[in-house]
Amino acid sequence: MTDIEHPPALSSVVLLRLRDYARRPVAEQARLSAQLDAVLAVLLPDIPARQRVVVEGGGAAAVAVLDNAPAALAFAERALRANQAGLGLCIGIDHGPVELTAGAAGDALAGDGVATAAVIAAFAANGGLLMSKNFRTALVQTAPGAQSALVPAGQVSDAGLRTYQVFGLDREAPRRRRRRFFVAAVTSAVVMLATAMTLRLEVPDRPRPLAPYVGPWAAYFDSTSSPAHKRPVRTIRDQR
Amino acid sequence: MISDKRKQLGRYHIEAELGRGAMGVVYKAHDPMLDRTVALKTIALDEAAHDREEYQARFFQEAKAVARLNHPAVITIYDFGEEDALAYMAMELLGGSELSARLAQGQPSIREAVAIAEQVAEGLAFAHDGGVVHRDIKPGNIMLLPRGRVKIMDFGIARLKLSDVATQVGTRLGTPRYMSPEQVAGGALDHRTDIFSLGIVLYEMLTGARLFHGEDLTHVMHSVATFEPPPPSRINPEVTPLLDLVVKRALEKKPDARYASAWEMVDDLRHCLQELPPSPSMPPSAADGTVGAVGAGAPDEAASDKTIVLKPPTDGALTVRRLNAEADTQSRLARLTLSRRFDSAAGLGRLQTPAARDRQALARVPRPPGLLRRLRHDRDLAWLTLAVGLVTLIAGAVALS
Repeated sequence: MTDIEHPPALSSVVLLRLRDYARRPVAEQARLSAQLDAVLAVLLPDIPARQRVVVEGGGAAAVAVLDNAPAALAFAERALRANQAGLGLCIGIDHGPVELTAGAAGDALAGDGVATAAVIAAFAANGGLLMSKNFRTALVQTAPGAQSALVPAGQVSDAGLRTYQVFGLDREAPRRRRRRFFVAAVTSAVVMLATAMTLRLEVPDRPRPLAPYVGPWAAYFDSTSSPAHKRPVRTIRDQR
Repeated sequence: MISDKRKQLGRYHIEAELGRGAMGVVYKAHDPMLDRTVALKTIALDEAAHDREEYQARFFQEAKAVARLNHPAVITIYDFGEEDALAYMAMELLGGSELSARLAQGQPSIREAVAIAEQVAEGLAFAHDGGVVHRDIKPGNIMLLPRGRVKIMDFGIARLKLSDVATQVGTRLGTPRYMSPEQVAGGALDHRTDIFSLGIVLYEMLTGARLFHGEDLTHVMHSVATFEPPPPSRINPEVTPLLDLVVKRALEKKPDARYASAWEMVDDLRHCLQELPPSPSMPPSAADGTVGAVGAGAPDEAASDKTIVLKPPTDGALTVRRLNAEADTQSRLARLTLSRRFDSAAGLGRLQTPAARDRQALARVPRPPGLLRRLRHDRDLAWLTLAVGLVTLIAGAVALS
């Protein structure tokens, strides 16, 4: 019997699944499992030990990253780079509740976070990374702006007909966004300056609270005349 | 049932009774035509039963199919026939012991277990190629012969017994423990059901534990359908990771996820054998066939109707370990268990004792971050805001001056 011993906690679950693992000969399964372990061994130190729980089995591994969605995304990205060695990884990330359960097969992580990540990973192509909307929301909350790399990738439905909106990773997206921001800034500058100039030229009687004072800034006196008849120079100049 | 006084069945002279089961009796008999001793298995055909003809036809059909099989790991059928409402099948008489008796004496070594499974898998693969599915692979149907050889018995008979199983609720269970999920569900069966059953046998040989068990038939069937067993290496650390994978693949609940053919399993088991260190000595049962026979203390299923061999009485004690194998429905939802290679103690500590903030986060609807927070984290947005702000100031100054 399984006992739920502890209340669930929210975490970002990165599920790494080896593609077509079940159909491969066990010798290859063993080799791939060892490779996956090696990838985890290299990448896991980047996540603080207090923020991660690692579960594995059957050609898949999941890392529950507590309270650090950007670290989960970075971990998944690095795992994808490791996939270039031909590991055949498919990665799904969700942010949801997980809980520790005790079963005959050993302690395990259960919960929506794990289940959804598994569903999403099943839809990811080889070397693909898909993320749920919940994870995107978590990313927006913890690191606003980081979500700019997430682009909509459609919807998937699991066997229970639950539908998930999923996002893919596009590292060019932040650059495009930056470019859009630049264009927006330049355009707005041009528009605003043009409007200001038009206003300046076409509406001479406009209120000019910021108009600079063009009168004398100071008065000085002719030292040759007597103090009683001293007058400002300007006045003298005007009299000439 | 054959009369006790009966000394002849067909052309066979009955010499002794070897065993008795629910379906009939197994005799040691002599074939005068070929002058050899055979095991004669009889099955009573109820004259009044409405499905007698179908039952008989199926029996003969299976007997014909199995008789065509000629493989060292498959028992040889010599002859079959019917006389006085008794269907009989003459087959080779084996000297050795059933695997169930061997398991009752103690757990075999890893190498012995894999060698047995490999031979059984090869025999099954050969039978499957011939279009025969066993349907009742279990330790009681696997005979260990001298010099480490193995024979599979009772091919194709299980189909005849399926109706008997349904009447066994509340009694001690034998065969259902080795059924596949599709067999339990009454679904269509193919060769992959044998692979699952062999996976159970291999698991039990490797761990010494009963994989699926329960107080009654329903409990056992539920266990078969839902229980996700831990890898054998968690029970017996000597089991290699490769063997874990072989067992896992054989025990997949979905037939499609299992080995597509028994030959694949044979290949993998041979690979495992190559990985294993050679045993210092051959196990007694495999070496001489003198030890490991079924005795009075053996489990009930060992003393079933599959007794077509001579069984010298011994004092074999039941030493199998029991797993805490409550049908764990939750574990199938979370098949990923805590990694033993990577330490998660610190994270688990936090998961086990969540802070108030963690608990509140569960109940809180996520809110979008405020502008200041966005500006602090989002550098692009901050630059845009700054640029637009500056331009606004400049334009304002130009317009209002």
